[in-house]
Amino acid sequence: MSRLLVCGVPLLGILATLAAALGEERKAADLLPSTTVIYSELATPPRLLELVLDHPIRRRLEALDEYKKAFETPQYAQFQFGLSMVEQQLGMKWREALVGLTEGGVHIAIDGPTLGTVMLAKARHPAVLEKAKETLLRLVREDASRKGESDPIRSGEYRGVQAYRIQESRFAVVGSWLIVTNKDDLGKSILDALLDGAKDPLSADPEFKASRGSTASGDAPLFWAFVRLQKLRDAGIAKEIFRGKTDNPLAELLVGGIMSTLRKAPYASSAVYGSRDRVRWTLDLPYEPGWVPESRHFYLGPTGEGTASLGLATPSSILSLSTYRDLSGLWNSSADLFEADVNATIAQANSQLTTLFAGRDFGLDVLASFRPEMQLVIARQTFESPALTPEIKLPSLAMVFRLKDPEKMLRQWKVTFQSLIGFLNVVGAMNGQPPLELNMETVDGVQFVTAAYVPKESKESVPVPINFNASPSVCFIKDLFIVSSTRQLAQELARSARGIAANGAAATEQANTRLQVDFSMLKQVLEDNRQYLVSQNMIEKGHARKDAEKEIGTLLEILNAGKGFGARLERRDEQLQLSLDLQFEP
Amino acid sequence: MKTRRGFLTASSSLALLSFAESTPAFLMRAAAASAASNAGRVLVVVQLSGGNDGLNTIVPYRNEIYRRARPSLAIGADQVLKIDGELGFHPAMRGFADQLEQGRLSLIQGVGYANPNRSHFESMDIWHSARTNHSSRSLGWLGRMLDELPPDSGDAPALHFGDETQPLALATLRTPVSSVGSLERFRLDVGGRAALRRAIQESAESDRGSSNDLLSFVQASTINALAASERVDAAVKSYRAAVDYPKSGLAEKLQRIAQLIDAGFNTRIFYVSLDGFDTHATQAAAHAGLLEQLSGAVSAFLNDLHAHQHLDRVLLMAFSEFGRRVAENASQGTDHGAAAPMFVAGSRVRTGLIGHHPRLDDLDDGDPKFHTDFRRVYATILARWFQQPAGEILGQHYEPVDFLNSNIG
Amino acid sequence: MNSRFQEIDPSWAWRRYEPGPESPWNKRRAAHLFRRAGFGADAAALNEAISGSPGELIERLVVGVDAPDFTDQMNQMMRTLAAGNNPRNLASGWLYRMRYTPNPLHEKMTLFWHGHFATSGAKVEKAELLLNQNELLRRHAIGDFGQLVLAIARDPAMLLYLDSATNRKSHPNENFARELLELFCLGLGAYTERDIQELARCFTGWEVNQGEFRFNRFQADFGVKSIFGKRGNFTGEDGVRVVLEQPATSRFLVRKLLRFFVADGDFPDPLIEPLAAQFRADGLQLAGVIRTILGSELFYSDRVAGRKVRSPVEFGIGLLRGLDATVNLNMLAEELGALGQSLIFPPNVKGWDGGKSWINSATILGRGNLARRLVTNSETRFGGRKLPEYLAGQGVVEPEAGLNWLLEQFIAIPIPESSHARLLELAQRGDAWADVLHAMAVLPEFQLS
Repeated sequence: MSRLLVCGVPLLGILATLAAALGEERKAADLLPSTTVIYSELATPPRLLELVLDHPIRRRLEALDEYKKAFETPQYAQFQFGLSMVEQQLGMKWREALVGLTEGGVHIAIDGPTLGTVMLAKARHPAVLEKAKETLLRLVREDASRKGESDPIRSGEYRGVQAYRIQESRFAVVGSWLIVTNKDDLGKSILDALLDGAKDPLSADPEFKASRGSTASGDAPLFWAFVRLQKLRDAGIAKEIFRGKTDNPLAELLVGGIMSTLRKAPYASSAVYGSRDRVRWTLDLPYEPGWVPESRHFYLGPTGEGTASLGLATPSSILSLSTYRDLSGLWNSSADLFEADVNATIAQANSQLTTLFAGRDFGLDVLASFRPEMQLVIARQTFESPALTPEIKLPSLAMVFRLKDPEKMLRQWKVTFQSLIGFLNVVGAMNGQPPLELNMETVDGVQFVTAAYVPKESKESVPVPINFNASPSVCFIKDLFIVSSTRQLAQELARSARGIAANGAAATEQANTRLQVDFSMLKQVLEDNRQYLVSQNMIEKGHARKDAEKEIGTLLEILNAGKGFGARLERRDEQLQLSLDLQFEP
Repeated sequence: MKTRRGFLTASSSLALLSFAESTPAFLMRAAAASAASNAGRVLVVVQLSGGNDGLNTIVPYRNEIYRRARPSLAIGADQVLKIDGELGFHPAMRGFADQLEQGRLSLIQGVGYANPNRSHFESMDIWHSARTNHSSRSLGWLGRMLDELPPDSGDAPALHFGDETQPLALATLRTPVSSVGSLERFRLDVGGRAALRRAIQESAESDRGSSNDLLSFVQASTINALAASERVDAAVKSYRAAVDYPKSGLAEKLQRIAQLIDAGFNTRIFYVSLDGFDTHATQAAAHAGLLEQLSGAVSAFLNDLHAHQHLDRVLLMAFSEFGRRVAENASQGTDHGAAAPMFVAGSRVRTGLIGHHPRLDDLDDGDPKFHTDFRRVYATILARWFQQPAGEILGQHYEPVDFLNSNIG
Repeated sequence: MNSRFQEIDPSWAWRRYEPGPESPWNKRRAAHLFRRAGFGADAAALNEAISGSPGELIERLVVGVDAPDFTDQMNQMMRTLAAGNNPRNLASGWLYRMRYTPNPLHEKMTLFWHGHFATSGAKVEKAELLLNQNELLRRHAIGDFGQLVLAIARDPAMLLYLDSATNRKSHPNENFARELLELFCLGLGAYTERDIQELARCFTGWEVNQGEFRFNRFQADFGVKSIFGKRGNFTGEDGVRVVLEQPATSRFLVRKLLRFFVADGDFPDPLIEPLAAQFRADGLQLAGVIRTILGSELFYSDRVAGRKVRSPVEFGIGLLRGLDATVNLNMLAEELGALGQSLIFPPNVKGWDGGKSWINSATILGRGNLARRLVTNSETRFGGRKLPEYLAGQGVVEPEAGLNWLLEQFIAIPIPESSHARLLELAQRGDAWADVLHAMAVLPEFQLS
């Protein structure tokens, strides 16, 4: 402060101008203190606007009646009116204005010590920002005076920079930078950094740098964020997440290993990438195998190197999930993972499943006969003849396992499958269901055990019951064991397995988990069941048939816009990366 | 007719009022309120579905035959919670052991019926209908009792808590029984609008004259329903479980029942089920979990009712459709059997073991022989607890079993 | 209860109602007819009804209107719903049909037969068979009772429900024979145990095979049977014929129809007999008797208004039809189940007892909460619009006139003045029609039809 007094006012003006000039070169992370706990940035907002507003899907959506109706509200009309007012004042369209104001990026950060939030936005040119500021100040003042209120804007100076305050928000403009914050101290420190350069900026922080490095590869993200997990844990925020326990077997199976990592990792970063035909979200975490307790070795493997090595493919696939999960490890360490009531349920399930599997202990024998690599496939099924085509057409579902001891297990599984079909037939007969007929067949050297319903002899044509969706089948190819709800899918997967074997090993896979969903196939299945969906819609919405048909049509139309969805969990060096990927029809 | 009169005296004054041609609204309200405080006896049935292994529930821990028949499942003398020198509870049944000590648990041994049926469905139907003859099983034993009660404009006479199919035991000819999942069913939802609640309350109370007895009946019901809703509202706001209920589905249901009892509901019968006792394989862990859930939930329920001073008018009965074989099978499990123990709990029971443990050296096709027909237990509850014509309801006379205190009437 | 009808002169009671200055044909009476002979009607239907004569309306209800498009749509919808083999879906589909049908009396009679020939999805479990039975009941709803009984005797769902699987020659299962006499045709006391045993022999060999009726002659008893004093080598068809010839049949059924259409409780024999005679003279055709009941002096008199408890289905569908409303019918089916009436899942062979048994504190609160859910649910549409807009379209704006409009539409008997005043206060609060409807649905009068 004393220096300021000595130097006097003229110098201050020069300093501010100089700072503005220097500030033009700096990045937001150079201005923020290293005590920042959460940092996020939209590096190039114009690109985001372009992607969202000019995307062909948006135009397709806009053509839908439902879309138009959703915007036919008084609130929306009012919003439109307000927007056009502002546009008039600025002398440009809102989009143009937004692009001009944010071209250099928008950054939001939370500082640890002050718990202050700050937004830093960089405009295309200081003049654009200056005009916007003036307009905003005028509009706010006019609005207040119209309501007969006193001037809501307070202003002051800090080191030659004019700063304003409206309620709890403080903002200032320095060159192309707009700074908005809710804490004085935080605002001052950023102005100081603009004027003098920061002593200890976030950009120099080793964790931040490491984290930047891990996501910097490839194209630039639309959105990027950095979070100091350690600090959040210390502050006791989001305790549920950091508790590291799921207490739900399905959640455990899906995210158990990630939970352990979240519990130990000092920081995390997340990014969103976008282009015309895809949006991708990633979460990057530093990772050390030692962070994951033994009870969770089922998830990434004891050394963290378990990979999803199975990759069978079929043209009718709707969903394919390949993963490394040691199911028997999960099942048998449930005592360490879950509360007593969940374990009681698991014990009961074990008893019932052991009964179903003809007395083979489900956890100790059945699951333990598999290696951790496995694959789940859901695929559209087609039907051979009308007499075998059920009214509701369900997709087929298959699991592919690797057997630990194929020689021994092959026979055992064959017997288990046969006795399971027998069991289903006994139960089915009690309920008057048609029986499943067992068949053995060998196709191209692969042995299949299949079961199928026999159509009933009837004079009149009656709807084929829903059971006819199932033709449970198993087959064995080397150490692969395929269990499928339909014979068709078992055969398709077997063909794929043989192809892979013939062409040598597929490219080595690094991911722990890979998921791919094909929207066009999903849409096909919904299309197959259009009549049923229409009836359900009539019941659920009370719609007349005509309206129900229209609504289902719209739903399928929306699905058309998407192409697929993917997810990966991958371990690379000392990193764990989870990514989700939505693909659009180009 | 004598029996109906008998019930009326025991029942709320509200039932009488519903027959009165005209009753001023304030009197009806008063009746509804007094019905709340003066409600009669309650039976809570806990059904253990799947066939509970009686031998590993009340364990003959000294018995050599038992130990030989169950090489992997037998529970040793050092593990059981001892009842006496021969018998002990499964170690997971700490709650039952506590209740026994408190004098609130009656263990009726060797319960079953002649020519036992080993199908879940058939045997459960037999227990539910109290009839072994297939063609007369359309009504439940509790349903038949409910049909004996006069139409009452009060609370539902029986409630089934749970989302499984309603048990045949509650099948009535006249009075439909509701299955419920939550207490919301018993609260009038007015979307937080006080004026609406007041309008509904006052509209219901308006004087309606006496010319339409059906209208009088519905009006009395409506006034009672609104009073019941207020009681549940108050109960939900003010009720504090006097004990910590364990975290389980059964405990949650029993706690809700305790809330309704505490709110003064004059519902006579509450029915809940606990499924999973069909332990054909790897029985030990599964059975322990179930017994722990059962005994923990029941024990908390009894303690809670006791602390709220309702236990004197509540009786809890737990049964299963059959027991299991003496010998374990090759999958460390047990298969469908016959006779097994039943449990009756409350502060009015004669505590301890009732009847002898079935002999293991004298089996009926591999199962312990029953010596107490389950309908004798029903008859005791119907006649002594509810003062209902047990013989008519059960289709014939069954000798009561002495598991209730002599002073209960 | 019977005292109400004890002193009534039968010739007055069943005389044809003629509108006159004392008893005009107005919205109140038309609404009464629609409530009893259907599931209520909206204002447009009521206005149309009073522009014609009651006789014309009854004729249209009994004969039914041709609606091939609606029938096709329903058939297709029900078939696809049954394909999932979940009988619960049938209940939702049937509610949809009740909500929209142009032939409400046929639907109401289908519901009557569903209670009369009660068959539950809890035991039968096969949606297709239950749907077939539902269609059978609708086909015969206002037809020939004798043919209906014969058809139901061969209906696979019914045979499964009453354990025909164990109906062997050596050991006849008496279930169906007993219910045929006790519940379907004659009523308790009109037969002996011996009649049941002999009748059961007639039905031996009537089986279900893979979902279809089959006559198994190896299990059929071709011997001589003796029923109600008649002897012969009776087949199942003969057995049904002999039972239907009993005069008790007509009396039993008329009694039940009166309970269904006219009032809860019992009716004295002198009131039953003229209709029973008509029923017999008509060869057990139902249309004539139903015409007489719905067109009678008694039916439109004050002795009948408000003398029936609305069933849950009448309560729910009545609200929907009265306000031309659409809701999620799966939700409605479930809620009606909680109120005691799960369609396709009747509680036992006797169907629903009805009357006072619908009412207890939980069901009263449940009815109130259901009404609130129906009228405030954001998905619910009234004539395709939101409630205030719909009511405004009906001219319901001003509080008092609006309240009276609603009461006339929905409530059979006058409500006390002080209750009316309370509802009016609610209506005057502005933007409160949903509250008014809710409060109205909890009125004791609303539970009556």
